[in-house]
Amino acid sequence: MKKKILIIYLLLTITVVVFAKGTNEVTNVSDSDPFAAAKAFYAKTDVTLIVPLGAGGGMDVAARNAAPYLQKLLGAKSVSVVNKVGASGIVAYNYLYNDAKRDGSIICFGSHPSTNEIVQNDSAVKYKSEEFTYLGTVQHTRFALTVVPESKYTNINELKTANSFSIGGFGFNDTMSLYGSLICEIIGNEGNCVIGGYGTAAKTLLAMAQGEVDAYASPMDSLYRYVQSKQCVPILVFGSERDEYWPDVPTIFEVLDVSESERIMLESIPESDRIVFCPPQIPQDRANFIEHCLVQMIDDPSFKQATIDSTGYFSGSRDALETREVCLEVINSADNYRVLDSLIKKWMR
Amino acid sequence: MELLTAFTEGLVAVFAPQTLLWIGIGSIIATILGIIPVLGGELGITLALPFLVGKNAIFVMPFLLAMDAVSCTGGSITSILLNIPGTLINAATTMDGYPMAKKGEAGRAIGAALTASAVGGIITVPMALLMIPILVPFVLKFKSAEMFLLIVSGLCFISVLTTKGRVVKGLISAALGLLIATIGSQAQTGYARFTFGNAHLYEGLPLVTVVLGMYAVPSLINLFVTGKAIAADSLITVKDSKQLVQGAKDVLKHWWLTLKSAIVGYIIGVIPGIGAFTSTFLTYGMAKKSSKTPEEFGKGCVEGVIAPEAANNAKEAGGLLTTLAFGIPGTGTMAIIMAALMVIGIQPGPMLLIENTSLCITMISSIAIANVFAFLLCWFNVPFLTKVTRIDPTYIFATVIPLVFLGAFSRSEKMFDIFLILVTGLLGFFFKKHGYSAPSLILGFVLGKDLEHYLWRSIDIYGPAFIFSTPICIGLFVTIILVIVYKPLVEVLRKIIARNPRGSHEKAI
Repeated sequence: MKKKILIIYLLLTITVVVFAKGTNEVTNVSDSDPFAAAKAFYAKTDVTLIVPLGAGGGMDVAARNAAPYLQKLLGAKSVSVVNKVGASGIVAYNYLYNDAKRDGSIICFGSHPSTNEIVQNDSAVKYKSEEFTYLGTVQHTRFALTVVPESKYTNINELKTANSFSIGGFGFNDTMSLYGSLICEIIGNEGNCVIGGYGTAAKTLLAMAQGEVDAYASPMDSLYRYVQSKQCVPILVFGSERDEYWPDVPTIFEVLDVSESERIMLESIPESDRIVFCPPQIPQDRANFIEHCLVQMIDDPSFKQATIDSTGYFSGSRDALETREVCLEVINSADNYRVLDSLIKKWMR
Repeated sequence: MELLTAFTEGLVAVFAPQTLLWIGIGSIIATILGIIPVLGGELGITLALPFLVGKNAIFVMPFLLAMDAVSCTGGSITSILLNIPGTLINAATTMDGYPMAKKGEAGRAIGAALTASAVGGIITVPMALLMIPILVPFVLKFKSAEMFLLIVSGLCFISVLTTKGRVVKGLISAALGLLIATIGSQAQTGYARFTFGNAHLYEGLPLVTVVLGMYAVPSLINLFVTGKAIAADSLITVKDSKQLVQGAKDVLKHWWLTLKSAIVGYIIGVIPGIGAFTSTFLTYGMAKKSSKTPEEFGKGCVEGVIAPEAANNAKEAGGLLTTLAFGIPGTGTMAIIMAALMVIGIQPGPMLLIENTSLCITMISSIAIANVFAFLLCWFNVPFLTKVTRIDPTYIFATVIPLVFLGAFSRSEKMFDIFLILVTGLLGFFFKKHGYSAPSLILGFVLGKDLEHYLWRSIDIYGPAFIFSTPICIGLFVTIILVIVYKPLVEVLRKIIARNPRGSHEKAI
């Protein structure tokens, strides 16, 4: 008897677990306010911000900064941050495309899912990046090449003549390694290389301080605090114009002879964006409402200040249309990316 | 002089009534979360974070650190009573803690675990404070080659985790662990291995699920099948409260082991990239090697509880120091604490130790106070908690199995984790039944990924002779060789001496 009760109890528990995710809900509230139905929905909804990378990173900090603002602006019951880590974001993007509720309660703070889909052409990708609902970009930033203050390479001219410098990368095929390989290709000295596998900015910077690698290419908002605390020095910005935060640092086009094909490749790597998007086909009024709230949040001086407080840097935003266009640009630049892939294989150890 | 002022300010801040209150609340929450299997400090910190944005760092950080520092104190209780690690780093405690509970000595084991945890957590705080000025040059010495050799030295203790006469099965278990660690994308090359196009396997198998499967599921099945309480009343000869005192006395009796384990745990905490999990198994192995009664290990030896418990609480001060100085979190919980620091507007890095020394001192000191809180909280509740060992196992099974599955499911909200826990649970049950070593598998699994990672990177950077690249590498290499050959060498020498007694030796000369 006791065992029968136990089996029933366990079956009930499993049933509750499996169906705990709930079902999609349709709200039919009409009002003269275009967002009335969306507001009514969020008033009784717990919103989840999905971050495809680990806690403590730049993406995670951006989402945690935004969470209290979005809770207030959406009028949501709660807004919580969940790190859904794995396979450079593929786990999170697959979840958003295939499993997440399509009701606007799940919002992602990530990078462009198109890079996994197009650049890496990964068989694990189970989504179509152009179908996501793009809502905006809360921070977009350029990449910079840095060295440690004690480095024997104090400027890019010294790097040009070097034949044994190494650039640290997170993994393989990540944007840091892409930029590293491209620099090696442009300089062209055979002894240089990219060493991958450091995983995070802090670990790569430690490797630089230990002398294992000489340089590191990373988004400026991730680097800014480290530069302020004198852990690294920027020597080059990957962009056509100098950055307002580091006006003394030259751009790659100023100091290196970049061929036309290399220029196209450089421009086809997306800038590091903290983009906001939802699963495909969420109700249009809710998508519009989130977009509206994001614009309000970005315009709020206290949000800018919070971003500057946590990263030291605020470089501007993009609206939903521009964000979607960047995604499409990546898809259209697929051929350039395939060349980049061969560069990575050439320069990475 | 400035440093002295910062020390005073930091210590004054940590003893302020409001800070103490926050530490007390954090300790209570984390101890309770630590006791419940599969939960733990990380969950508490994640849930608390949204409420702390905009609050004063002097209160927020001690609160979060208290949650992190003491969850493993509570976690030792379930390791001992149920053979289920409350938090992952309590896994080594199960090896002797649970056998002690089965012998009716749960109170003694918990007394030893709580005291060792408190001592380890407290004595390493002054060490951390004194280390602030020399931390950066110390950590900079440990590059990829040194890290590889440190991990190899951890693997050398696999033989210690196996019971006598089952060394081959122990080595097979460890090899299987190393093999499982190769699942996922290889960091240097990006090649996906054994993933079969499944994105959930790209980061490798999740440690939490594997540990739960290997430990919790077989123990619970075993309890259910045998139908006997963990320790029958008849086995308990001394009252649980008296056993607690006995456990505390054991720690004092083995003071050198406690101190040694705490120092090792602390150093491993300081060095980024190894993880606390290794320190508990490493100190367990060291305790067995140095014990007068190594044959008692695995059967309920109190030294096997003291060593990992002293190490796992000792790692907190070291881990925090590295997180503050380099922004490299050693654990998932430290990563969230680092995120909290950044949200408050504090950037970890060497400049933090220089420019905000008093806050760093407040944070590190709060770990010691949290350990005192956790010790008192658990100590007075143990006589009640040890009654778990006398409960009908059907009820334990019915309560804990859903928690285990929920814990695995909540990690990713994917049925994949439920499936994985079933597979690892079956594997664990097979291991238990046929005498294979689950701890060896776990150690191989935990160290395998880093082992490969540091090996390839060392070869890339320093070449195949990287073992001889620095004096630290040479020292570590010699230590590893000594650990491996010491016992066989002594045996061989003994046999040679026994075959050639003194007389015949002299005659030969």
